[in-house]
Amino acid sequence: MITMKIHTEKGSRKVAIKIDEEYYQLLGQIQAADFVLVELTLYLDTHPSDEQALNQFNQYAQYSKQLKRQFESCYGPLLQYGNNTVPIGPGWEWKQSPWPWQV
Amino acid sequence: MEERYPAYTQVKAFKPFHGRFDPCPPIGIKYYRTPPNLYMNFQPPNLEQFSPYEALMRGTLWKPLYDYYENPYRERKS
Repeated sequence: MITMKIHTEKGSRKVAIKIDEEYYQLLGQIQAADFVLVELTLYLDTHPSDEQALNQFNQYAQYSKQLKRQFESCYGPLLQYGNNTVPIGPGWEWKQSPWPWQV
Repeated sequence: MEERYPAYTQVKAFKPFHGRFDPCPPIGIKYYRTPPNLYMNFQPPNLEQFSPYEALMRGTLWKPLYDYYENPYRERKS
């Protein structure tokens, strides 16, 4: 488990964001769900009236949103520019390490 | 998981002609890919699907469209 030491900033969630196994496991699930959404989007472009695929798409969209909410509650924001509401407690922390390419 | 698909072979090969005065040594057999989407006109609905994580790993959500790749030229190098 890598513990990232970051300078303590007023209002930051924890001193260090713990990058543990669960972080990667959750990220993997998010990636899988988003990939299914990409595939279904492409499929629905050419099959707009496929009921079964539409239901599956909505189901996975909800599932992905729920996963992301769960991820962001523990590890900070995934996307920026208002894609998620910034919790007041931890404050503005999207610029803290690790950055996506460091993960 | 035994691959029921595809009905068609995904790799095809041919032997390029090698003339007597060709400067380079013969390549032997050349391979080219014929993925399943070539044999599928319009994707039918309700195709069998992979699980999400497996779909991510295999690069496609639909089982019949999965195109397994293996480097046919590797044996030549080793």
